[in-house]
Amino acid sequence: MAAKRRPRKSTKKSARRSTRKGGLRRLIRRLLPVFLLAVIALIAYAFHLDVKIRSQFEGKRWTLPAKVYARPLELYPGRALLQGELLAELRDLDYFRQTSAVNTGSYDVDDAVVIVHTRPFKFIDGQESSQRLKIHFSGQYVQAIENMGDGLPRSLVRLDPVQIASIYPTHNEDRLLLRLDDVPQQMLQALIAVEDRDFYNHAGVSIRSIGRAMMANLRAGRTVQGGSTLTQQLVKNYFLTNERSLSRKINEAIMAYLLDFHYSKDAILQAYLNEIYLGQDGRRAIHGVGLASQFYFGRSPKELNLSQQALMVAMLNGPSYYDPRRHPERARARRDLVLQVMREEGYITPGQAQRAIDAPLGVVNKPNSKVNRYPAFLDLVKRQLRENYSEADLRTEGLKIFTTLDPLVQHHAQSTVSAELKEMERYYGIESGVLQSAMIVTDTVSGEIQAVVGGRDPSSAGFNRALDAQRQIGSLIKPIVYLTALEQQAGFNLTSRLMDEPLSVELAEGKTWTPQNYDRISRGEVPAYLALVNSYNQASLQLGMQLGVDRVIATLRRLGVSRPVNIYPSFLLGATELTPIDVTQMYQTLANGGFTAPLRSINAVYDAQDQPLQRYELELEQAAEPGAVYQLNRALQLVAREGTAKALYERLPPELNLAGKTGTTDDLRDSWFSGFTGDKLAVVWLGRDDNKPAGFSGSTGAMRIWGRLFERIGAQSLRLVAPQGMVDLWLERETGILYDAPCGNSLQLPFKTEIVDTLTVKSCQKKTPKNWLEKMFGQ
Amino acid sequence: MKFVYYLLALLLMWISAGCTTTPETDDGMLPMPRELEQPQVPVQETPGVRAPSRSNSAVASILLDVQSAIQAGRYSVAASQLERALRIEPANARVWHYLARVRFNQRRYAQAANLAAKSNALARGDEALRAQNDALIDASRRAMP
Repeated sequence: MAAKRRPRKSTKKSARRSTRKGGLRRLIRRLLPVFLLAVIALIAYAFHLDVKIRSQFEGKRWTLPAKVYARPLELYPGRALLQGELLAELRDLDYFRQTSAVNTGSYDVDDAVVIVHTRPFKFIDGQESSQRLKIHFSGQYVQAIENMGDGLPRSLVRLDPVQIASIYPTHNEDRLLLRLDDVPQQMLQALIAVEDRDFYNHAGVSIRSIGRAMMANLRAGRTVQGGSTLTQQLVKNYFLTNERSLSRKINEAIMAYLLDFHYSKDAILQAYLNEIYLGQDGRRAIHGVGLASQFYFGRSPKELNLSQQALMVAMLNGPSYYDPRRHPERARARRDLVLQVMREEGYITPGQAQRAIDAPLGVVNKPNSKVNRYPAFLDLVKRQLRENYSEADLRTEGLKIFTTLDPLVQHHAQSTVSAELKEMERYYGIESGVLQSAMIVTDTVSGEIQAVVGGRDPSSAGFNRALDAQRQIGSLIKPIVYLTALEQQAGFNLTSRLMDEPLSVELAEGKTWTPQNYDRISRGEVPAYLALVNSYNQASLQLGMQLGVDRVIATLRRLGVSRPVNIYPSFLLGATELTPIDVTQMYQTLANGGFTAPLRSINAVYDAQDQPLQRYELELEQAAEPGAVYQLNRALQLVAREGTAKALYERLPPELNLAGKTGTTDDLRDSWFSGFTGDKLAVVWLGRDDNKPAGFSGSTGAMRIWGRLFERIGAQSLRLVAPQGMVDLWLERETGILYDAPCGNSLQLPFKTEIVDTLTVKSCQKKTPKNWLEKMFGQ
Repeated sequence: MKFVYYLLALLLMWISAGCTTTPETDDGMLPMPRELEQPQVPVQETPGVRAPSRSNSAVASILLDVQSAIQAGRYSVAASQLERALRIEPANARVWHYLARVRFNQRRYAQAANLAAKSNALARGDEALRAQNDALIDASRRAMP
């Protein structure tokens, strides 16, 4: 309009001042290049926007966080599992309770029976399909599993794994990608009816909608309706800013037009459904209908009922305003509006609409946090991942990381540590919060790490004591000394005589070192097993000095510990600093009969398309002679039967047959216990961060936590299998005489067959009733 | 000389294949874990203290899957399944032996030998299995570069 008037004005003016005419022409001539430049700039700008929107749409449209999973729960008849533990796992998995468990991802409980409708899941070794299972419990066991589809029993099934963490892009967006086919038709109809009626007809921007919106807003005197098409909303979500300016609106419109020009309506709709923001879970932003469906309804979009579909469409308009958990009334009103529109458009019958309006919102409880539930364990996982993946890959490529974490064990481990430290502080009147502890639990043979406790506070992502606290290990080193002797010293056996008496060791700078026993009593000549079982320092040092520090260190290296250690004689009594995870690796090799399996927190890494990228497999290295390890482990069982760890059996069942060793350092600064059963190894450290005396020996501190843990988790009995070439003899305790059969007050011990000839073995003349202990050990 | 090793290896694989495909033979290669037949240590359930898992048919069902995976040449799947079986029964010498065999077929000879040695350490009294482990260790050592 203004442009038209201006020439007229200038004509009038030109009549009066003709000299100005030439000036105006000059001005136009001068402005013309500027104008042309502006046009070129606009075209270039549009081109720039085109490239930008196309690369956004076609390229890697979404950065997907890496998902970290726990181990899947294996269910089989005979498995020690409490019904409550299965239910805890199902809750961890965000299964919802539903009568008869009709939908996948639901469960139901009826007395000692749990019905689970499992979700399908693709594992490393095959697909686990969705099944409706009836799981019967009997006491502490799974008694039977029945597939309700065919009525047949199942001998082994596994649930999908719990997601324990996500490694997020910096903007914390999370989504579950879906295809258009994954969305129910009715929901698409509702979406278009409510948000963009002309979607299939307009060219990305709809003048009609803008007009309609303007009219509505004018009538209302405020903004009540937006004229944005779905395409515009998609563009807006791509470059999410909250700026409400004209220039942004124009950019949006140009890009929407360009998108519509380049791509099909269905492609745009699918992108919209994956992109759209639908809520917040702490720091995690919920994007896309796929994830929102899980987040709000605990099921996939295909499984949503009409009412839930309408609610989902309702929320699109303002996910926080219509948040059905925080504002159920608003959400319900909006949902009903959506249903009403659907009915008016003829997508649903009035009857269907009414039933959906009468239905509850159908929202499940807020799912468990997927951000980082076990920071100490995730810390270990990330360290292992960084060896092979860049930080960017982890945050954006949608990797799936299958870890070895056992949430049930982790839960018990963490709660035991937290509760026991509190209890100890209370009981002994220690300032609250001063004691610290760390624990690692592994599978004995595979080296898979089931739990990591980095400190008393489960949510702390700070100092990870399990991995980083370097503390003196005290008597935990002793088994390594005895193992070296059993392997390398000709004729050495568990009854070999050691001198438990003050021993002075020459140190550098002319100093001497004369260690004491824990109770400051020297016992003179003692059999080797007794020195180990009761943790006599002087006898062990004497043995270690015979062997030489170098040889003992070499044994430690073979068992898998690579950290630099103290090379002085005090090493032989554990005056060297290791971390709990170092100790775990060392004892894992013992628990595994002399075979080292590198500790693992990851089983496999998959890419976003479910293709395996990497497997971390079980690998074994024979690190020690199985016969020597067998003798050592038998002695470590005696530690718990009658030595420094015998208090464990006050509460644990005698059949557990656990093997273990206590460790205590000077002035009670560090309290350690490392012990294993048939299937689990746990290492516990307890002390103070400032390295001041904590006041606990291995038995009174760390071992107590270990014992409490094993009361709570079901562990298999340790049944040591003698390797070839071993024979048992009976040592009469008072006389030290060896018999070939149980005799009087005698102790059954293993020997290498080849050295039996060098020993004096008598036949027993006394009648000895077998006690339960000997029956147990009689292999 | 190499040819002889090759023949030995072939022979071993033939024996293995024979064993896994004929579960009815009574040569100790039944997919049923031996532990099932052994008397169990009686488990007394102390109130408040958790009892360990009992032996079960879960491992047997995994071993059936393992057999078909091996026959189809899907060794890494078989290995994953065997690892799964070991989580349930860590002291099952037969499962360790199968895993050793899978590694041998994958030409991972060092692992095959180590795993067979582990099987041996648990296979006391099972002379047939020990002999198979020993043969596998021999063949692995010979095949190693």
